[in-house]
Amino acid sequence: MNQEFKTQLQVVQRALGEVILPALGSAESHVIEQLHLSIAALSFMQQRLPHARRYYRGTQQRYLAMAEAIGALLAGRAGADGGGLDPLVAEGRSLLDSPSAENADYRRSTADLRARIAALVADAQGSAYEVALDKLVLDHSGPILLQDRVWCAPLGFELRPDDLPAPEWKPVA
Amino acid sequence: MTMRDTMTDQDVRRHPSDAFIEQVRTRFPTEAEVDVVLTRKMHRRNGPSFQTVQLETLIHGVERLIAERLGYDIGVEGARWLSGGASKLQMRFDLHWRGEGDEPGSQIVTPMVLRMEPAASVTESSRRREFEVIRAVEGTVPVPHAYWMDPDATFLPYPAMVYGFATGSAKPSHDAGKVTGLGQNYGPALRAKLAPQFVDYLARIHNLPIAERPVLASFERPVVGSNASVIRQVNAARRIWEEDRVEEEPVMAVVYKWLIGNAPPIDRASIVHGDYRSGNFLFDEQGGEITAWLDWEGAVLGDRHQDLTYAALPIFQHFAEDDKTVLVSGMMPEAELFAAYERASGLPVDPQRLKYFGVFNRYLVSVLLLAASARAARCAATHQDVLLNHVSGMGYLALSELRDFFRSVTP
Repeated sequence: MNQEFKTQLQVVQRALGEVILPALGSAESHVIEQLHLSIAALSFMQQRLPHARRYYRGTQQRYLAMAEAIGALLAGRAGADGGGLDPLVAEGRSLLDSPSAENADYRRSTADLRARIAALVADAQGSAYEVALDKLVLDHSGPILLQDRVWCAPLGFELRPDDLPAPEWKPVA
Repeated sequence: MTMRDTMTDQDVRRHPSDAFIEQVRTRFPTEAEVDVVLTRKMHRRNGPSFQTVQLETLIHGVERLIAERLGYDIGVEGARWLSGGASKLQMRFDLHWRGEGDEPGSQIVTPMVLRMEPAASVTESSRRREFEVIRAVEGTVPVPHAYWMDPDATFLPYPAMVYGFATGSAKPSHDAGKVTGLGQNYGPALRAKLAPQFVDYLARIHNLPIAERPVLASFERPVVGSNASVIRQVNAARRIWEEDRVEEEPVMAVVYKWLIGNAPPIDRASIVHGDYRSGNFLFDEQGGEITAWLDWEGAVLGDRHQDLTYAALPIFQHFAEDDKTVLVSGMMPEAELFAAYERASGLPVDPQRLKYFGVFNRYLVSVLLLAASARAARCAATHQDVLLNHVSGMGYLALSELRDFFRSVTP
């Protein structure tokens, strides 16, 4: 069989777009619309599935860098464990070094880091380090969100997709 | 061991306990009717996934609703689905009734629309408030007449309302294939006709004296000089974030603190449409006349700058034919919109409030895309899961834009 998911998704898209869509003819517009959106979702998966592991690892690395910078900022202020980030950072670094780590592991680690950082931001209100912490989060978030936008670019929402940075998950040719 | 110790962050939102629901309600107090709607959404989440509603079910329900309200038997014919919009189910039908004159023996046919919410949607909202605000602005701006509502789903599977069918197009025929209506390009000829009306209707809405409109019973009145109503709105958005998000975002935590700490006092209380933009009005393509303003479900009583900055959001922009000029809501450059609005309304446009509500609207849109849309699709809660899933893909663009704009307006 065709083991590549790319081929599996390709044949479904061709069937939906070249056979089923034209056959719908004068069907109600919301039916046609949902078919177009289904094809768009399949196309997105076809383009992104081969890169998912590198994208998830890259995102996790960036949040680890944010967490480590926050840990340095909080050192001696919010307890010895860097505001609860230290164990999450240690686990995240371990995952990156583990060949058996799954995509879901990277995503869970990233989600845990984000949740802990957001909680620290809320808890920092009125503290001496609040301004520095907020600035650090905003500084680190800029490049992360740009890469997230690149990831979603095939969905077609970007006004100037060519102005986005190069995707960092793609290996250099 | 507490509930949070035994449930993951995802579990507690997918299957919210009563304790979680109450905790969020307490932390983020909102207007009473908004609280009712959001609480109902959370309780529904523990129920079955959204089941496809058959047209016959809606026909039967709307017949019962209208007959009960009028006190005599009516007829519903020609029912069919009406597409458009990302959140509500809509059915067009012809109502055979006596008309508003209620003359026994008379029989007229009026085209109408049933608008019903699914189990969850991108904008969880109150049919009661939508009904009231349409009634309040009728005669001031073109809107379909709101006839009846079923705000507690007594007759229909979910809360619903019935309004008159409005004629017109939501998209120009040259761009009819666009799915979401976002970044709508009307083209130069149509734009020249629509843009002045776009400004004029916004000015009219904001100048309506709300004290003379008792119909707005479900809306809490903002107090001029107080920022309490603004904070209630920020909390409503934050509550949706807390209830619906699929992942936490540190930027959202930073911005929320700022929105609470910098909420400006209201200088004048206006009806705020809440979703005033391209794609949310119908127009006659030949004459270039706006025939109806739609999607009032997000309306609030509040600050006019909220609508102004919403209409100018980047996700509703596109470039003009010169490929340089950015047109907000497909109409005109942002500075021109604000200047034209001042002239049309006689109301001042305050740069500081523009900054505040520019942040607020970007925060709100990030909530609706990254939380409400993503959650509704994930929970299989709507008739348009594939559409809500699609628009949630715009979330990172919205969040990135929020982060950049926030940095540009804060020290």
